[in-house]
Amino acid sequence: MKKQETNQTDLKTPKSIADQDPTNSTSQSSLRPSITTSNEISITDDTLSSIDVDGSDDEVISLDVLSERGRFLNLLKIIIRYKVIEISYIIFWGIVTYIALSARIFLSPADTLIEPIFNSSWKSLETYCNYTARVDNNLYTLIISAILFLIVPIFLTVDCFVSLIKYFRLRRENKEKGIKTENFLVYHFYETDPFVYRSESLLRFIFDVIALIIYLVLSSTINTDGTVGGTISSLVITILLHFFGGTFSNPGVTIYKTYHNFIRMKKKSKNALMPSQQIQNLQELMSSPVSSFSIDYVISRRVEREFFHEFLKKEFSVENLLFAEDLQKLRNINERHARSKVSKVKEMVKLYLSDNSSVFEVNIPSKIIHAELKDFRELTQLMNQHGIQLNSIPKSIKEKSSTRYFPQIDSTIEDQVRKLIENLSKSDVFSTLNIEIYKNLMDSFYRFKHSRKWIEFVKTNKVQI
Amino acid sequence: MGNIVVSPHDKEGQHHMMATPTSNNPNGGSAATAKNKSEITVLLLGAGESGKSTLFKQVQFFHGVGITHDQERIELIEIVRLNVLENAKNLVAATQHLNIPIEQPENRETAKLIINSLNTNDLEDPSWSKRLYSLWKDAGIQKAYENREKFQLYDSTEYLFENLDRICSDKYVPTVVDVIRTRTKTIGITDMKFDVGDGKQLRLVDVGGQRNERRKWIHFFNTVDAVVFLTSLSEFDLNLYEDNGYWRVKESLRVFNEVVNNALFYKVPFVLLFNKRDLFEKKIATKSFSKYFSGFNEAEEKNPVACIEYMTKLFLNEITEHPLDTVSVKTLSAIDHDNSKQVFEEVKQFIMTQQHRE
Repeated sequence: MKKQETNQTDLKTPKSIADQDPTNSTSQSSLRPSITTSNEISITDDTLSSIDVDGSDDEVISLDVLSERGRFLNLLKIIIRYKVIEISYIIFWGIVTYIALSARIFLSPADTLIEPIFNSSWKSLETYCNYTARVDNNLYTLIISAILFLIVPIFLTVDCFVSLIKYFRLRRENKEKGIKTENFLVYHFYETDPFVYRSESLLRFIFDVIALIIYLVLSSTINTDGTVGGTISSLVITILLHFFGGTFSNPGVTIYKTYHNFIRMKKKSKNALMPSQQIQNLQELMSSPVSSFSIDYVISRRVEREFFHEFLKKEFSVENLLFAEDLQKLRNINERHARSKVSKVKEMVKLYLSDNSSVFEVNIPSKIIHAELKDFRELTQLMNQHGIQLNSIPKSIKEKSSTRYFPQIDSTIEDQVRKLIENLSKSDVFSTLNIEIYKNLMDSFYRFKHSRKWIEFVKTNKVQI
Repeated sequence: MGNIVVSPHDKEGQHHMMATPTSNNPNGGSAATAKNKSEITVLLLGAGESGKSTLFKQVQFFHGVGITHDQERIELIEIVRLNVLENAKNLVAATQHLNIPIEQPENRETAKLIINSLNTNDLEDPSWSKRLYSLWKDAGIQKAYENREKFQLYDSTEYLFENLDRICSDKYVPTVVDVIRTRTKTIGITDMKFDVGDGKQLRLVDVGGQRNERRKWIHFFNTVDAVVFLTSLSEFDLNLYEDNGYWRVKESLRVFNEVVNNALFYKVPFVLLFNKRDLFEKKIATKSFSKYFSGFNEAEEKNPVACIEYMTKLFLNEITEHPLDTVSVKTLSAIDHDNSKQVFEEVKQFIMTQQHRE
């Protein structure tokens, strides 16, 4: 509960966290411990649920609000809200159709009994309705279905256009700030649509079209006697509509994508190298003290990072920046991807952490390096002893599974190996190295902030703003 | 040449592969001078924590650049406070390591907080000034401090703890002295230029002293006009920061040997500065100097002049190639403003006259 509170106060007083310090190593795993993400998920209304419930189009829900405990509840709330929109939309159209048809039916007197084309469930009502009215009813049903059927692509196209306009605006803004923008498809179907209603509607439409084609083909070719082919086509339609396309909503895709998104969100907020929200622009950066946050701000932006990189090259200390970035990359590898984790660590040890032989040896006391590499050294030793190649480490290791990944060695040793790999795969691996490298960067960063090139860059940007 | 051989620096492929300078370009230094007579490049070299950056900051200060301005010192608040915390942390860790109990229970509480959760931001709260000061005065911590040669601790520890009431305040702006006494490990190579009269400019180059940083020095060896080598007098009882278990004096001698006997520096004026004289005098009053140097007469060990003379001999014995008449030896106390100003003036004069002679 406490964590949540602090997170929320941070929102109100962004300065309080801006001067965070990297010394508190034991309690905080990373240098940017409670860093808040600027990666906001804006949830736009779905095409179909165009009924605007709370009047806001692009409501922004920050991840900070979704803090530890409240996160699941909040997620549930969002799902429910959007499901409510969807369900009310469905009910609305259902009621309209029923009222229209019922009115039609009850207003017409009963007539001869003829099988209806659509709506066989309405058989019980046949006595109330004459033949022509029933044909009319079927016609109306068809028209309504056609309208509904066509509304989807129309809405999809309109939505796509709106989104395109917004996307270009965003890209222009990002270009000024020097941030890379994802491509349009990702933006449209993923970033601005975390519950994937857009892709869902598109899929539904495609499946509907496929189902329709199959129905037409089947009914025109096989269905001569009107029994077997009819049954098959009905079956096909049922399967396609309900399992793949869905008539009104497809819970499968939604649930899967929601889960996936949610996992991604959580991961991102934990690890990713992200600009701190505390520093909004260059002017603020210039007046803020040298901290890990201001460094993060600079290296998370393309243009600014390039300046810093150039400066470090001139001072002969690029290795610190490269190491910090590589460490971040290591942490961003999925925890289950054992082989890439281990090979990344191996690469980093070779490049930065072996004294005398590393090309980019970083300035960190050997005692700290030694303590941090204990697990890795043990692992390489075990691997050498038992002839395990790097390639024979499985690409991904599932937790708690009893599968033997290294059948050639003793199971107790395998357990040891797996434990060591697990330790290396933790998302906060090498936390003291991270702190040390940021300390090193702080020294260079202080001078960087006063370098002529950088000050000129800030000045010219000021003119633009 | 030891490990100062090659230092490629860029992933993108610009490998500055320099051959060992002995072979092809023994006159590199003077050649560069001929090209650009108006600029004199002076390298500040030495092992880690020998006071290169302290001297560099002092020179900046009396030339009115950098830390002279309040605005720039404000940015160093975080670094000063980081120093306080690191010192406190190292001391607390040392009490555990050396099995010295912290006596007062409230100090034990403070120690726990320091190890686990304290950050520089918390030091804005003045109540921390009292708590940290009381921790500092705790008998256990003081005992650990007396044994500070057994772990890594900055020289400025005492100064920082005595000034806690200023540092732990929300209105705190580091003074020039604070900045000069703050320990920051120099990363990479940095320089400053200032006029020295006669239309000449002096370019002072500051470098990092740890092993990996030394590999970068070679980039400047070709253009150098004078070398100032610093070594700390007070390190005779200490081990290396980057390699705990290696005696600092041995490392300093090794680095000195590599630098002074480098063929590029044969014709270059060379200044050997024994730094931290103030600390050294305090230290030999309580610690045995002769314990660390077997060839030293024990009866003389409380006499700083004799000790420094011995150290001088030790270093000068390393010189095998460099002509001795272009080597000057001085003592310095870099944290003392007046002393460093005076010594730096002398160094400058020495370099200039040597230049003239050429």
